[in-house]
Amino acid sequence: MDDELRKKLASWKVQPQIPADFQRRVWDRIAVREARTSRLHFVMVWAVALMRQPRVAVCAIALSALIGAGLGLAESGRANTENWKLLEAKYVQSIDPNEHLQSY
Amino acid sequence: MSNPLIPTSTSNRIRPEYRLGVVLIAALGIGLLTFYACKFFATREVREMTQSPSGGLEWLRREFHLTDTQFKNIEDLQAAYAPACNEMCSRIMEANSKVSVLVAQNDKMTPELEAAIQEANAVQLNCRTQTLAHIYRVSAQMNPSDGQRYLRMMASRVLQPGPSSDTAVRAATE
Repeated sequence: MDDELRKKLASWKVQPQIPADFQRRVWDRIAVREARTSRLHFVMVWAVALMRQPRVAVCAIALSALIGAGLGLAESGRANTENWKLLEAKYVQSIDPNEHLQSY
Repeated sequence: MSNPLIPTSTSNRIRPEYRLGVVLIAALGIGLLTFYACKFFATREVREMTQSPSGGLEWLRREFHLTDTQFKNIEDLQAAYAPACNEMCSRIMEANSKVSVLVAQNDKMTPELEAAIQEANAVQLNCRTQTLAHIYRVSAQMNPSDGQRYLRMMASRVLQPGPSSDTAVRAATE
């Protein structure tokens, strides 16, 4: 069994079909990836350099606080409107027996 | 003269390659903190009103700019009306359940069922009349413009009821 397998393996020849522009395509892909990596690296280096300046870091934190406060106020406006409608419904329930009945 | 081996400020202690991450995390943390702090403090008043049992009346006071005297008068009117409202509620419930029982018992219209439906309608009519009378009494306590606005708002809710207020209350509390 082993001899037979060995013979078959010995007679097995792989003839890969490599496209004519295979090498060029590989190099193209490497170049594209390197360009992408170097762009990201450039952005990271730039951001790190920027954050070295304490004034920029403080500005980034202050901006974040401002955005947080703005979003928080907008969200609280929405929540207050919702609760205001809930209070109106509560009042209507207290004077309308039909509405009052729904709460049972 | 200071020793150069001893770092003198926080920024000197943080390695430059980590500084971007530290600043980003601090900015994110402070942004989230201000978001929740603003939301908490800006919604606290109305949130407390919704949790209070007299939240509905408190809503009326603010929505229709009631003075203390007006509010006191309306509070008295409400206190006098509440037992009548509960009584009407029981009568509506009783009349509706009578109709439901008769509908379940009969497979066609009977004089008894017709009488029960008429009774339920009469109860409804009586309740609406009393509710509207209360609305008029309350609006009379307010400033003319607020009174008119209250009247329009409540009459539309009571006379042409849309989806029940309870739907809104449940949706908001769930």
